[in-house]
Amino acid sequence: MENLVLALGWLGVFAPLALGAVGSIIGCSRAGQAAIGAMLETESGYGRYIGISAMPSSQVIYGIVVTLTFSGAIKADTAPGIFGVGVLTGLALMASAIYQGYACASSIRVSKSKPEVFGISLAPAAVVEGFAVFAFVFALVLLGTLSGGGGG
Amino acid sequence: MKRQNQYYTLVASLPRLVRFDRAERLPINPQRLGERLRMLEPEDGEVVDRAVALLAWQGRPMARTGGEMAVEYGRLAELMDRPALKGVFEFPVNLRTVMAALRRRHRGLPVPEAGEPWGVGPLARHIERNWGEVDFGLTALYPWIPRARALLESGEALALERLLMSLNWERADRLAEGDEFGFEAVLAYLFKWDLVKRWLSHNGEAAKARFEELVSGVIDEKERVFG
Repeated sequence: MENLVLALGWLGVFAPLALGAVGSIIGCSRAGQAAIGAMLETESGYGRYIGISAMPSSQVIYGIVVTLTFSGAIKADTAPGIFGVGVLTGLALMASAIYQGYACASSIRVSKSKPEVFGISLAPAAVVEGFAVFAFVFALVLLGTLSGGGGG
Repeated sequence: MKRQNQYYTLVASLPRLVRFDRAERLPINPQRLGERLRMLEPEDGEVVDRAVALLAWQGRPMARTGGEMAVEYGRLAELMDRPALKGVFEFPVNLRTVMAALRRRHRGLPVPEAGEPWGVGPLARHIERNWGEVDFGLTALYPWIPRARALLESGEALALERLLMSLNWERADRLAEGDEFGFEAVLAYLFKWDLVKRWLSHNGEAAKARFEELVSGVIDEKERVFG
């Protein structure tokens, strides 16, 4: 039984990284495809498009930090909490990366035709990123609570 | 998933379409547009071919009689079996039928007899049944009809054409709202591109007529001055 609990705990440890990576793959792919399409129609500013298309990669970085932090705290009594926090954090990171990819693709499409809106068109993508940051920060805060309360 | 992915590149590669009545030129020529559309999956490419056939049909209303239009529509209606195509073309077909009915009534012609080919699409029978009603009882569904009728009756042909094209343009815009990078967005773009092309061709004809008028004026003036 303890092994099963620990296995779930490890699932929670790795979930933020794995799910964040899945989201980043999809988000970067979507935005990257839009960037390539925009290159067909423009003569310059390619680096800008590639920069935008890489924005959804930040979620996997948050996932790496959460995974590394959680891995040091895993014990039989903290494992159930780590499972819950980890899996839900991973789902939040994944959704954030995918939908940020949509926002970035739209930004690329619009700023290609109207370069003057480049900055402001990134605002929705930044807002989506903000939700990933919330999930990331609160995962770390909750880990402190878990370790303090259960793991002593 | 594969098809969906391809449209991110395709949609982002299409240049911005300025609204038809503000456009000075086509942002992409037919050859380049055709090349871009080759990014579509074969299945969707086939739907686009059907859309092009429907657009070609739409673009030549004056060259045929009502009967020819109805027969041709019957054949082309089979092309509208795809939901995406129906979404794009149902409204313009209905708009055309309503306008055909308004023009017919404006000319003082009687209600079409049963089986007489005058309009196309599902609205034709409804209009025949409600011929006596103002705007055929369709105002709730199409609130633009009173405005179109007023323009028709006052002979403001250009304003009427602008209104009808605006309605089609806005409809196409709404279709693409749901999925900015989906196949509907590609079809809506193609439809709007065709609207711009048609509007610009109208302007070209007007410019040609005006040019000929000016040339005639100059020749007449020359003959008057120099005998």
